[in-house]
Amino acid sequence: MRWTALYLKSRRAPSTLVAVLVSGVAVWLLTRWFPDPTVGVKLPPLALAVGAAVAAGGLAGADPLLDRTAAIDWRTRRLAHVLVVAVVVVCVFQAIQATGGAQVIPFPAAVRDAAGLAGLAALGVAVVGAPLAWLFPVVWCAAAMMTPPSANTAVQVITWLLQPTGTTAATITAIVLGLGGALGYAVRGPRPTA
Amino acid sequence: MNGRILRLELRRTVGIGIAAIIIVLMIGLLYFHGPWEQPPTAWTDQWNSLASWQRELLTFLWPVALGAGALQGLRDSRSGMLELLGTTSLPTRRRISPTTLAIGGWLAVGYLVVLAVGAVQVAGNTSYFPLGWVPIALVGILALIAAGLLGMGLGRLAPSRLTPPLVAVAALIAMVVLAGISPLAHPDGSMAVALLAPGIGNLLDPIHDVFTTVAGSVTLGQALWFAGLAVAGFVLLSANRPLARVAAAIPVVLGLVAALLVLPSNLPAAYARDDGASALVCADGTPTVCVSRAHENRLAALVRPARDALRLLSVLPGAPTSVVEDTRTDQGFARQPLPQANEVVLNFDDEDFHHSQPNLSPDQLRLAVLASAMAPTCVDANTDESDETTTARIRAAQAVAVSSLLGKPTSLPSYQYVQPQINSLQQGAWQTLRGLPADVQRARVTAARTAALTCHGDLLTTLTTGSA
Repeated sequence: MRWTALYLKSRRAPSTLVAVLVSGVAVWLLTRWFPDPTVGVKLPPLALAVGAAVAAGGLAGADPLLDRTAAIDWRTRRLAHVLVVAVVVVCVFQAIQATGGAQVIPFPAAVRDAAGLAGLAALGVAVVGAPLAWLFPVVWCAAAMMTPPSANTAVQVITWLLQPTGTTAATITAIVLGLGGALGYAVRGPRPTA
Repeated sequence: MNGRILRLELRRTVGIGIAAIIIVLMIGLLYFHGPWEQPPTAWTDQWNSLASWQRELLTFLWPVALGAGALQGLRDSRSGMLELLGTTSLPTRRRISPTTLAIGGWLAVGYLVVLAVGAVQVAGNTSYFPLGWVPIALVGILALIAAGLLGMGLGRLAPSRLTPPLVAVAALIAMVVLAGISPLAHPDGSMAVALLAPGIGNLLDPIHDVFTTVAGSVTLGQALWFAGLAVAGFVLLSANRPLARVAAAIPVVLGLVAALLVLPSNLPAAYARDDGASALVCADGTPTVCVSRAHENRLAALVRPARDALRLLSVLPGAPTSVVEDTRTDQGFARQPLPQANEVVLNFDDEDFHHSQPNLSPDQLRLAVLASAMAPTCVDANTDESDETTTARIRAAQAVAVSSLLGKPTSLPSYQYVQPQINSLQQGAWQTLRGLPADVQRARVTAARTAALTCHGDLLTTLTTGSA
């Protein structure tokens, strides 16, 4: 228990949780307020993306090199952390939707998006380090918003975040990103940054 | 001294990384899939198109640049030397100058590299070089630099590791919302507010001719707005006291007010006719063959087939005597009067010209001119919605008329999905027409051409029965 509390503190879990909650509420309100259907499709995934983006910063401690010297098997803990990020992001937004009384993104799509985005954030931490890791989910979101819709599989992969529930290409992309990112991060660990 | 620090900052800031992201993502998306691939306004076709489509891609890179700037702005506090820096006598503005120069420089380099990649291709695709695209591109660079500076300022204002992702996503949300406010998405939207986003390519989306450009007020208004944001970023970066930080709101408000005053408030006002591009250039000699300056490089190949076609058409009574490109635009400008009966009006974006495909053979060009001579000039292929059957009947009639002129069955390039329908219509009509004496055929073709030019009656019926 004490270890977990210290770990969460070192990974700045409280401030991250507050940011996820506040940004989720903000995006939900904006989606409700904005009547345009095309905007209504594009905004909800951003609520999950902002959660994954801020959580990415917590996937590394203050000094990744020092962490590595500890006689602990980090791999399971890292994997658990990514999983918790995905679950928390989904649950927080689901709770906001339930409290607000309007579902702006279906639950299965939210699970898919959060899983893929959490994996993407973890991949970012492993590749460029925690301070820059938010770039991965944010840049992918931005590219998806810019790509015009099409039935082409490559386009569906790029715009997986915006696809309706049950689109095979989008589901597979989310699984690949989620698993790949989580496993890559679990094995490699956060890239040390100055 | 400053030069050495600048060189150091050029290597050590996030600038180089963000420039690489800009180059890879912009070029990747430009080549991957999007409205910027469609001729005649594809990003590699005309200078104005290149500048405008690149601006559109800023919609998604502007938030990234803002976030990256914020990360850079965190550097002093993350390295725990704020107090140490506070003790130095060097004014903050002097200290941050090399850093801002480095970030701004890298952002500009990223933008310019993509512009250069497009420029090489545009130079090969058109001979028309206007200067109107330069301000459009410059405002793009200004917008990107403003994002970097504002990001750095925000990072210094709120030195938290959460700042970069939060400002980046907030900007992304702003882009989505601003696009939704545009009258292009919403009939009662506000054009001026929507134009506060850096992209203008979505304005081009509904435009299918190269004779329309964005109005100067759009470029000027956006320049004012982004200049305001850039100054605000610089004020935030150099301010050391809370009051000075509040002062950063002044350039933002000034820029916003000035921009909203200048920016067009409705959609038609956002466009301007490009008089340079639509000016006609004519070939030497007679009969007259003219194209727009934007398509001047197609004139040489067109002249001979066009004159051949005019010779073939000359057997008709009241035959056309010149070939001129259609330079009407489709965004609510006063349309030019309908062409006269003695002109063949060409549209390079037409299916006759394989939708602006370059390097058509002389035979294809001759066929295109002949078909254009039989085309209903009252139908604007870009804006007038017509159903499939009407399209197929018109197209079949054009093909039959051309076949009659050439004395052999000829098919014209058409959309794949209507081709079978056209073929069956065309075969039936051709069987009827070919059996008739030559002078009756000519009279029918003349009647069909008159019907096409005056927009009265069904062309195919005119061809097969002699009356509409």
